[in-house]
Amino acid sequence: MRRFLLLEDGSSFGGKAFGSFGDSNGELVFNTSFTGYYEIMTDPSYGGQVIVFNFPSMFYYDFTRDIAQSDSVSASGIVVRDGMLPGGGSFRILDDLLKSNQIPGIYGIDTRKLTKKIRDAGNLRGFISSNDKMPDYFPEMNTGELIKRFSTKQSYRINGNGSRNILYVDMGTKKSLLDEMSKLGNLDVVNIFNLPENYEAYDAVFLSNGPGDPGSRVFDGLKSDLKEIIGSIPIFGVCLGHQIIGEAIGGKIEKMKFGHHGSNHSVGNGTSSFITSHNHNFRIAEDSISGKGIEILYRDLNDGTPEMIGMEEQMVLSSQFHPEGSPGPRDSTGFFESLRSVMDGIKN
Amino acid sequence: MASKIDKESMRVLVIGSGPVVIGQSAEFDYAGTQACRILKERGIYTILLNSNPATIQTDNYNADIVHIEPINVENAKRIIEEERVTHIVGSMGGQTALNLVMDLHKTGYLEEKGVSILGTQPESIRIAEDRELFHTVMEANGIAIPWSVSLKRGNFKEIARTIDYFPVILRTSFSLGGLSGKIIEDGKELISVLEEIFSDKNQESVEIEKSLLGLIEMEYEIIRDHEGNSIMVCNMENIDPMGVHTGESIVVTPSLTIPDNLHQKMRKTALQIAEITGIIGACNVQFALDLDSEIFYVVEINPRTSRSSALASKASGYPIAKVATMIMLGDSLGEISNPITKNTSASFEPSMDYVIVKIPIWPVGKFPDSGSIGVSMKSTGETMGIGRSFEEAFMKAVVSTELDFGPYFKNNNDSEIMNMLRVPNWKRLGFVMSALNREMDPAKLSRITGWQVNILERLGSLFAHLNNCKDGLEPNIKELKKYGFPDRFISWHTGISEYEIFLMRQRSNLFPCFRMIDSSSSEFSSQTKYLYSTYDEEDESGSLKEGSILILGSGSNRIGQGLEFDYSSVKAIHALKKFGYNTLIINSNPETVSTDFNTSDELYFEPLTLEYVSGIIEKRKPYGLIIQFSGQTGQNMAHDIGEIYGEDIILGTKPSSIERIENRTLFSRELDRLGIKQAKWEQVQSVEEISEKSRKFQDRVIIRGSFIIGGSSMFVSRNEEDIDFFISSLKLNNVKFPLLLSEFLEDATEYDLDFISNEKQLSIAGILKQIEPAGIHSGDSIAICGPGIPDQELKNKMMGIAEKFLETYKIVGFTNIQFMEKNGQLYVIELNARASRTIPFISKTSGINWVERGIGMMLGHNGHLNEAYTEEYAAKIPVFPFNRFHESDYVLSAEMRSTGEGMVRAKTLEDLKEKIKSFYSIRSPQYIFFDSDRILDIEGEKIVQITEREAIDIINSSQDTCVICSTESKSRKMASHLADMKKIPLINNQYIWNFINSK
Repeated sequence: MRRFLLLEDGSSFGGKAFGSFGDSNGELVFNTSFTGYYEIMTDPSYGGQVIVFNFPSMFYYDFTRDIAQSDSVSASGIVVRDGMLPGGGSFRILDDLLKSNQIPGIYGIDTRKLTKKIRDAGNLRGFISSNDKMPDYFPEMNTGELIKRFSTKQSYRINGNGSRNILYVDMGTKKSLLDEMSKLGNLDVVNIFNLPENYEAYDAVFLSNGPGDPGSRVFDGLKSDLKEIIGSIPIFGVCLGHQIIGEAIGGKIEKMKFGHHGSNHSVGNGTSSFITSHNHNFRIAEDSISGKGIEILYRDLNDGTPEMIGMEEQMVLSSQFHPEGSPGPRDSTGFFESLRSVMDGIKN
Repeated sequence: MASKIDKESMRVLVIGSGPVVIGQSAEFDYAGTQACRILKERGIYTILLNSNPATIQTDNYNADIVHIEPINVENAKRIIEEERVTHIVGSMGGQTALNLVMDLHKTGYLEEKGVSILGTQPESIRIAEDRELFHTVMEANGIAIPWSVSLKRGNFKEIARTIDYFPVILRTSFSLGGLSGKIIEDGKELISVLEEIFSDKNQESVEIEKSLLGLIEMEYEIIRDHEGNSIMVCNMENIDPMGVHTGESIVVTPSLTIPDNLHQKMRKTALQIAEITGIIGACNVQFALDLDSEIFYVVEINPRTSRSSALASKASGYPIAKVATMIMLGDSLGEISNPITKNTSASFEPSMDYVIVKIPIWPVGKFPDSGSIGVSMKSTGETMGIGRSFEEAFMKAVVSTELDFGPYFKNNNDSEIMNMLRVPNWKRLGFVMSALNREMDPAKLSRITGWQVNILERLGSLFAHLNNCKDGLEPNIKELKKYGFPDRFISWHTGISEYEIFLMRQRSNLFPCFRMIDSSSSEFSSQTKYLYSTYDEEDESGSLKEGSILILGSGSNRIGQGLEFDYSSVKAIHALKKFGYNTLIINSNPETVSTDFNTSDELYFEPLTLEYVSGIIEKRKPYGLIIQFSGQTGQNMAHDIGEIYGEDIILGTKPSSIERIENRTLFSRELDRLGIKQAKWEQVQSVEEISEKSRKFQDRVIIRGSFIIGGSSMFVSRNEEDIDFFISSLKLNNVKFPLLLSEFLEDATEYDLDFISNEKQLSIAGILKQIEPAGIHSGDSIAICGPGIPDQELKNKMMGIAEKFLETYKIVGFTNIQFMEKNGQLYVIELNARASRTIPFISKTSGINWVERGIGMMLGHNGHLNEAYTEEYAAKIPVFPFNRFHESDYVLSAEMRSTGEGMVRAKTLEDLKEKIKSFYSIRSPQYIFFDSDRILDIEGEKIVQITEREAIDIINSSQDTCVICSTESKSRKMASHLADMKKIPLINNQYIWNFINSK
């Protein structure tokens, strides 16, 4: 069955349908990983986005429950080059997976051509449709709705290692991030609508990854709470969490042209560098934090994006990249050890 | 090591890998050339040692001083002292270079002379090379290695009873010929085999090792700097499971069937191993992965650039040897910029939006061999296919082998197919295709071959689709191309010629588009024209350039068509650039310098077939096409290209002339007409005629077909038995009649003449005289050149013949003539209207850039009439892979079997003979000569006749006695293998012996 990917710049790509029927829209992001596609699709950070996979020959290994980063496929749509061959094969598993999650997919798309378009135009919104008629408008991402949909509905507790209690603010967390954090202590997992009255009871606050725009008003309450408690208890974050912290400490967020999405980005601090997993369209604007006692610990080696920041006295440490990998390298799991050190009160 | 080294005072010696042998080929010319270039760019005084004249590396522009000499300790020491070397590089010349540097280190020589090793240090290399130490270090760091235990005569029963993991491999030092492995399935079998082994009083111990057979073999290419930063350039999944050497396996990169979490664990372990070992530069780590238990074992590591690192560089666009060299000089990964995008950092991991498949090339039909593949390498080269999907890459790689898979599509003998799939062998790929074409169950195929079922399923569905295109090819062609079917593949299946399929596509304007390899999946824009084709919408080859010339490369390294042609291709690119042309090259061999994306202006990594060559012509509209450096590949394609685009697109001798030369009968008639002497000849049209007409020459004949590669359709017969053998072998092969039968002249001397020409004039580039008589393939003979070879009279005769050919065939560019001389008479054997294998050798001996001159004449420039001939003598010495083929008898014939060559030079003929001895590592004055009917022990003037038993005892007890085998000796097979096994000097015929002993 024919299916179309229509873009807000007026262009369209014709392909074939798989996954669920029905239309879908979202911001287009491309991902350059050649493995980890199931982790990527189930990562709630991709909520509201249509994922374009650059690597063509995927789905040669099967989906298993234990690698999923959430209970469902989070993205609004999936765009791939290689699809159903005339015989089916392992691609059928993906087809079923998307159908059961009511996510449409489109294959037979020249994803390289599409990637170059995204790269050159910057962010592009797209519409997956069964016909080639351009929609009247491309809806904006509604961060509030995305956060509601992908964060936990109810607060719960994870009994982790040791006796520390960490407030874990779930904004659409990956499972692997929860797993890593539970190695540091017990987690009280809450969403942003059920923030506690009293943070002092915790040994640290951790802000997870998640979908949407960090500038959204929906985070205002969280940001003002953070401003209150800064310096009194350690504050940590990853990805979206990192960006929210950036704003809370006086920085500004900027949207990147096409962001970083892949498992091969190198970050460095002048002497050492390592390969990290990235998934972000926004970043902390560097000039907005200069002179505020905020240290940029690691930068992206290609474009200088601040990828990890810290304030030693205030016990703030956050990472734009994903130290938990999944998908992607876990060369930077030392980040979690650093969090432990901060909680232990060890400086440097 | 100091993080920055003072460049001013550095004098760096780079060690090459020597003659091409199985397991060490063009990939080290590629690595070494990159290393030399970086050293030169940094203004560092660079000295090179390599005995292989066919390398680009040994061209003077790559180093300040090039020593083309045998790679051994004596020569290295002499150079270190003469050149006041301060640093040495052993990681760019394979195991040969690494061993040499370790030998120099172990004796304390390097320390004594104050020479530092650049890159990975000896302590680290030892961990990688010493199995026991490697195991200890890995275990100490909690890294899983295949479990093993040594059983002694005294305690084997108690320990054997505790082993509960089966199957295991049992290794003994039981038999001659090294360790032999046996797979044991259970405890009962183990005890009974052990009892049998230990019943032999000489057997003291055996090794038991966990069997990794059937597990997935994975490779990780790692780069690490002195600061401890490291990256994975790419990973590779061997489609053939453990048990097949990675050099013998079909490989896909990046991995397809490995989930991310497992891939990341192996990747991290590989980085950790590089860290523990202390790698500075490049490193390759191999794992055996059990997908069910998710456990993986480290199999081995290579602390240097390797065949895999060349493949990884070409696959990812990340030049490993180049970056490793910068790291050796003290740069950190973060400081180096990505050489392909030029605007991003080298500290990143390449991402690919295409797939790479590598297929090995075996010397099929060259050696008496079962063709089974296993843990020892027999392949001479490899070919790489790039596609926008795995299926496309796989099929392009299959086509790139330039082998004919047509018969496998016609095979419907299911039981034969199944049998051929059970054991890994040279033909298994063909039978996998037969099985897929027969639509056999992928799950069953997976169980038999060990290939992953998902891969077989996807390929299977494509083959089924091809079978279902019942309504004819034309309505389906567009879809088939989109799925990645090459024309040649479709041709094998349908029997429709590639030329017809081309016309079909031309009618619907269906041509491939080209995509860039940019190491970032187009995340970043790239400036480098490293391209591959696919059938999709957008073309990235860019705006058309005036004055483009496309050069055809020579494809995979195989016997008869290898590194020598790549040398000439690369030199041709340099020459064309100098003359102001925009250079394009098409090639399919990942090992070579020609497929380095820095060599040409535009690199097309494609199969060398009509489809892809025409695809480039359609998109890039080149002014001309050069086919003379592609060996026989281009000659075979010339006709079709000429038909489509007109003869004039082909620079150099035109296709119509090529046909008149390649067609044996037409050529022989022409020789007669021109009054040029040749051996008496007859044309044969059928099998029956062969024996009938051979009798006219007492069965002493040479039989040839048209369009040969490395002599593989030539046969020399000396008697009736040979003729019978030839006829029986014809039944197995698809031979096209007519054949040419010519009288075989015994003991004639063969000469090779290369000349360059425009339509009007020619220059002789070189004349080589062969030590072995005509009848032995010129590629297998020692060839010499120098003052007075040949004498003026013979040379004049040769010149006269060359002039006649020039006039008759309008020869342009490069040409090679093979002559033989007997009793003062000069005969023509054959004419090749293309560059020969000897161009690099004669360029090195004369110091003249013959490729540049030849390209000049091809473009219509005038020749250089005043030849500056060298005063030196030089010899080209072939090397052979007989030690890998235990059934072979080391006898040389018209069938070429040498894999490569070395070169020696001297001021006088006498000194040349000494240098040849030194090439063979002859150090002892003692020789054992296996003559036709007796065995002689020769030491100076003292010559004693000895028995075979005595000869064997002498060889067994000696380190350096030289063995010489006459072609007629009955003991030659035994003696040659013994010498090879003992690694003592071996001269495998009496002609060489007579030559080096002649006064």
